[in-house]
Amino acid sequence: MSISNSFLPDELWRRILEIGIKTSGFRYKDLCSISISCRRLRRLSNENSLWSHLLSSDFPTFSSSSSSSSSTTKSSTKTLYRERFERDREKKLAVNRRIVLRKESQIVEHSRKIREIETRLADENHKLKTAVSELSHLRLLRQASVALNVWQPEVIRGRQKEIVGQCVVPVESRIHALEMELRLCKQQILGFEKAHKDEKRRLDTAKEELVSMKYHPLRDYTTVMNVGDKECNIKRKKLKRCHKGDG
Amino acid sequence: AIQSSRFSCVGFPLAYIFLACKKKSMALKLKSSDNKIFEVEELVAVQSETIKSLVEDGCANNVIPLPNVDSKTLELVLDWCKNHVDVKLDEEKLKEYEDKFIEVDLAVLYDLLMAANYLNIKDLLNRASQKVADMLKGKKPEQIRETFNIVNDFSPEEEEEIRKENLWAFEE
Repeated sequence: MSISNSFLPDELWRRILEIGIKTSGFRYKDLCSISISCRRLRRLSNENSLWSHLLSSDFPTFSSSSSSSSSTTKSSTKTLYRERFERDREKKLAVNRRIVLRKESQIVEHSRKIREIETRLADENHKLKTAVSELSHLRLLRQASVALNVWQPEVIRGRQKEIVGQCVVPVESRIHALEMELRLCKQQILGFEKAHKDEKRRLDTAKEELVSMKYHPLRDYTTVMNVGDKECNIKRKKLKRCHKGDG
Repeated sequence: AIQSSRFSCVGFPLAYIFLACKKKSMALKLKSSDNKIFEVEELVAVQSETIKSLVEDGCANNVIPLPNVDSKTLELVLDWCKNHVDVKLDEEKLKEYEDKFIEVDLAVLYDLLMAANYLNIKDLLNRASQKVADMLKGKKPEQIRETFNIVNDFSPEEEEEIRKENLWAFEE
């Protein structure tokens, strides 16, 4: 890849993180995720100025008293934040749970909407089918009535007369109405299909967001590690097999 | 004028030439890193603090070389500046323009950031930084690496250590 994060100088990354805190609504989790990504971002995301911003916005009562202690102790603001966070753990976690819950109910809502759209889509498809079959029947009828006007052997003429005779509504107007309905159905179906796609996309995004919210750096890391181990094992086995083959 | 026509290229917006011809005293010539000349209204160009100080120091009589900005990026930057000259512009429209403007590939976004930083154009720098920040928000470390093509330069032991160090933020 030609693009790499080393492309941007530290000062720009600093500005990005600062803006993230100030206007993009970064939370402690965001800074911690960033710090796991690589050495450089770890160093930059651990800087005191960022954490003191979070500290004063998340623990407004704490910031005033901390200024003196932070200057005397050597610990970073991130550590301070963590200490304060752990003291306040239950409250913070409750906030977090609420955010997760909100996302989960959003997902339920999206799924409900998708099901609703699917039912309406099925209804519309059913309507379309009925209209199509009626239309093809009527077209047959029209053909028959046209055929009545030309000379026919008596047997065929009789059958056609029968078909035309069964019809009570004026064929032409009914065909016209059906064609209209068909167009409408198709339009509706297109609309529903688009709505379905949009809603599905929203659902997928919400699901993705939920996964990020529930992210656990160690649990998810060990699964990654295990996959790696397995691959190593497979490779080793393959190697062994190769050696055996040689022997 | 002869010199400028020698340098002028198809690539740069004609509007700038017309404007430059109309108000000759107000026109500045900027040269990108790949030697393309852009003629712009002074009012447009001085949104860059860097260019502004050059103008104020009287160093802007000839072509102003911008060795850190290529023509592709400079064209984008000047488009941004042109749209931000008139501050009385409808705020909603401006926001719409900015949102559309900043929807670019990561490489272009980085170029814009570098150019805005070098030319010292505050609003562009902030908007581009915010775009990157928005892209960072709510992502897992793995997703951050993927989105920004970041190479994981931790050793496995280090990585585990760092993950443990940040565990407090993720526990339920």
